[in-house]
Amino acid sequence: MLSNKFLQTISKLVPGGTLSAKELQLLSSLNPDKIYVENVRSILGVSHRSAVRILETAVRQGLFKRGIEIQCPDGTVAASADAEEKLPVTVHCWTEEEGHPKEVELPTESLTKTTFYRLNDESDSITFGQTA
Amino acid sequence: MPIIQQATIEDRKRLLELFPLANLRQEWPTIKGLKEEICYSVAADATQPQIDKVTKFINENLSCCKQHVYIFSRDASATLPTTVPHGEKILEEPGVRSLYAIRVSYNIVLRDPLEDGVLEFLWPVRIELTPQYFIARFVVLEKNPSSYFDRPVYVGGKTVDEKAVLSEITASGLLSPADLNKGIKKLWADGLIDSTRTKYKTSISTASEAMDEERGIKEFNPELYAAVQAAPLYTTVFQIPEDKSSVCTFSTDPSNGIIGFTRYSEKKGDTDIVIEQILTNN
Repeated sequence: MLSNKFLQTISKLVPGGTLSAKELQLLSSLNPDKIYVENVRSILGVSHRSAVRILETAVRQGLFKRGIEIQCPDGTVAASADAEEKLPVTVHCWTEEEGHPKEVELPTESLTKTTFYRLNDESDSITFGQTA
Repeated sequence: MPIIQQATIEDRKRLLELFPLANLRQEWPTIKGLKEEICYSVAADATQPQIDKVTKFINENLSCCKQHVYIFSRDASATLPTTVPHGEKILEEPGVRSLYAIRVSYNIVLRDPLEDGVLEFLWPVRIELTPQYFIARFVVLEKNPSSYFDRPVYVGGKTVDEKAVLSEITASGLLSPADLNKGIKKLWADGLIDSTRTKYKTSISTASEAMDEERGIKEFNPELYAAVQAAPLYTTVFQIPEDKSSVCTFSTDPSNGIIGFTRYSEKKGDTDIVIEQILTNN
């Protein structure tokens, strides 16, 4: 469940300043450990840029933390970390060779990275409206 | 076993290079150096005692190699093949298992300057019989010929592959691919293995799931685990806890009787145990 503080923050940032009951329900059902920009964008029906702004505001206010994950060529997430420099140098991926799965070790720098957000477990100590 | 004795030193060296370095060092402890040097030194001796020793080494250490294993349900009259395409039997335990070496030629194209070439391998294959099953175990040949040359190289094709070998040895009609779903699911239910990615059949689609950061489906996605218990499994990757086996991971296509060992395993016989446990519970 996402925190009320986050939902209130979003309410302030969305066009019109309020969230519908359905939007609240869908936002509340997101996995607080892995929230993608597209999750928020699609629920609120806003642009990608607006969704990023909402999530980055939540980060600045200490409600969310930013994370980064690395994807293997087949799209599987191989590793994640709080910051790019904390990702492993290489990751373990799977490919297929003559119909059989095969393991490969690939350099992280050559792979696609995706930003995600997660609820800051320590956010309760930060009062609503305070910037981190 | 003339195929090994009559092979070139380079062919025997490449054959030995399919095996883990630790096992080579254990068998030939007096030979020092890198893997390539140890393999060359062993391969250079073509005397009968050395060929016998190499053959015994292949048989005893095949279970530690990367392997593709095909399991067939067998008719009681199915027997071990006397020969295989492009190869010959090099060791036999009558009625139980036979070890074969197949000669495979890769057609290659070298660059800078452009030149055609051939790269030959002796390919170890073992066939085993149990009361119910016929098991064909192919050591996986490395697909990186660049390591054998000091210039860019491309593989154009090869003279024989697993499909061709299997086609011939199953031509009798006495073998059919074993369905391993029951055995695999029993080990999964017992917590001996957990899957990180699976492909399975639903009533209206073929679905697949690959867990983030190789998390186990049973541990982290119990709803999916419950759903796939009733579904035919296709290509699925499993992990085994390190304290239970040196086979840390393996792939399987249970509906088609296929198991793949994608890494070297440290302990002799650990892949044998995985196969045996799947079949015992099947």
